[in-house]
Amino acid sequence: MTASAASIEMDPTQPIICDQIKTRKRYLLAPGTQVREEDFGLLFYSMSGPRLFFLPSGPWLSPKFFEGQAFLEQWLDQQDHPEALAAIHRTQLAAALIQLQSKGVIREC
Amino acid sequence: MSVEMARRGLRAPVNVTWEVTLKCNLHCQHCLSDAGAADVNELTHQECCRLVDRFSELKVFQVNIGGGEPFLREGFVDLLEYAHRKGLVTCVSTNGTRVDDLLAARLGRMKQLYLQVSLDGATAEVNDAIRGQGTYRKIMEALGSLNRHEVPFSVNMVLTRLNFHQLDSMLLLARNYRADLRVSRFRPSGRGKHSKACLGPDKEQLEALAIWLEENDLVRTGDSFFCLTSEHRRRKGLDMCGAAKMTCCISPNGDVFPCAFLQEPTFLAGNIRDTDFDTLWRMTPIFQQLRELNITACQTCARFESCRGGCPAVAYHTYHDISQPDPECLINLRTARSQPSEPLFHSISPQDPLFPIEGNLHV
Repeated sequence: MTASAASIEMDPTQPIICDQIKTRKRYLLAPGTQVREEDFGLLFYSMSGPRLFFLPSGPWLSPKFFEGQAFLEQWLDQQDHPEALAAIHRTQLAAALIQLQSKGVIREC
Repeated sequence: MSVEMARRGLRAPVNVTWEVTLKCNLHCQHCLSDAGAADVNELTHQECCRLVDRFSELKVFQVNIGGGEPFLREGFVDLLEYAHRKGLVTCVSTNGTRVDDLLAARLGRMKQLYLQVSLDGATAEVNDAIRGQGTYRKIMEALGSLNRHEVPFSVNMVLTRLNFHQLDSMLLLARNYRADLRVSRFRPSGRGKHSKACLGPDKEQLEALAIWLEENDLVRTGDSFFCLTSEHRRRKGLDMCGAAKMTCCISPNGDVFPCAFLQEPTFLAGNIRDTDFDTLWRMTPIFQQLRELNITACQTCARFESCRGGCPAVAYHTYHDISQPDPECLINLRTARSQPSEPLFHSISPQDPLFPIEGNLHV
């Protein structure tokens, strides 16, 4: 059985709707979903389909984020990384997570 | 974009095809594994459990289990339950002959299981000509047991020239059992090498299949027919060969290959008894070669994004060269039919007079 696949876009040229930019959100994986780290970011597998989702989040998210312990902005601030993630990229990341939520891959908690 | 990320190679397979035994009680004419007697060197139950542990550690998401007939392997259902406890999703392909109410009840409790039951005809006459005398009746009994115990499953048919005319009946039959229909591609590997001449679908049938799939949107094909996939159906698959990029195959004795249809010495990455699976996945030259494979003859084709040269396994079994275009892609089928004296493979651009092919498919 083969999965279908989709990439979650994080294109800085795309307009972002205002209500998508909230970073005070915590997420859990939806039932039947798994996630793992890849060089480009995160790869999600949903048993529904099955479907694959490629999230090009680089080093900024890890599967642990989806344990629902931290808001996105808290998580990003806590990362041991030489450069802080620019506001525009935080917004893109928040929007990408909303895309994943709309596809039933993750859910807000 | 997802295709590009996948082409670079993932840290582990998304799914692994695992043939857990060569043992089979049937002798299907197109069997890709040439199954029959068990391999004397098959992995032990303990070795299988260790492999499951490794898959779990590497976060392989799904294991597609076939054979041979998996349910003939001793301790197989225990192994399935073990894989589920380790977080793996499994998809088991069975010939159905061992599925009774007792087994169906046990399978019905497995929430991480997809089940595929092979059936190659909507009538006993057609199915039994391919899978063996009396198999149609046994498969129908299996489907009944699965329904009674509410086990979700799909009916899997390999498209042949014998069952092509029953596509509509197969879809109806599957629906009657509340199942999906999945149509798989005939590949000239295993016993299929010898039966291709009499069983392989002809070019007109493959072209008609592309139209039929367009009209029957819910029928699944996985990626096996991506060379025929219309734009409309592209969301259903990756539209590229996943061998060594997203998936690989493990044979009953632990040999690792890029895919189930390339189980030839040339493509052997190694054996999990000798080398860690992770090392085989990441480091093997043949896997790197497949990740970098570019079917250059196809790159100017207008359908390149939909197919990327098609199935290297079919190219290999046809030309002994994985870098050749899939001879059964829509463009090559049309070319071969309209110009039979020309080479079977052919590049095409929007300027080419053959290009309006997609108009005929209502894309």
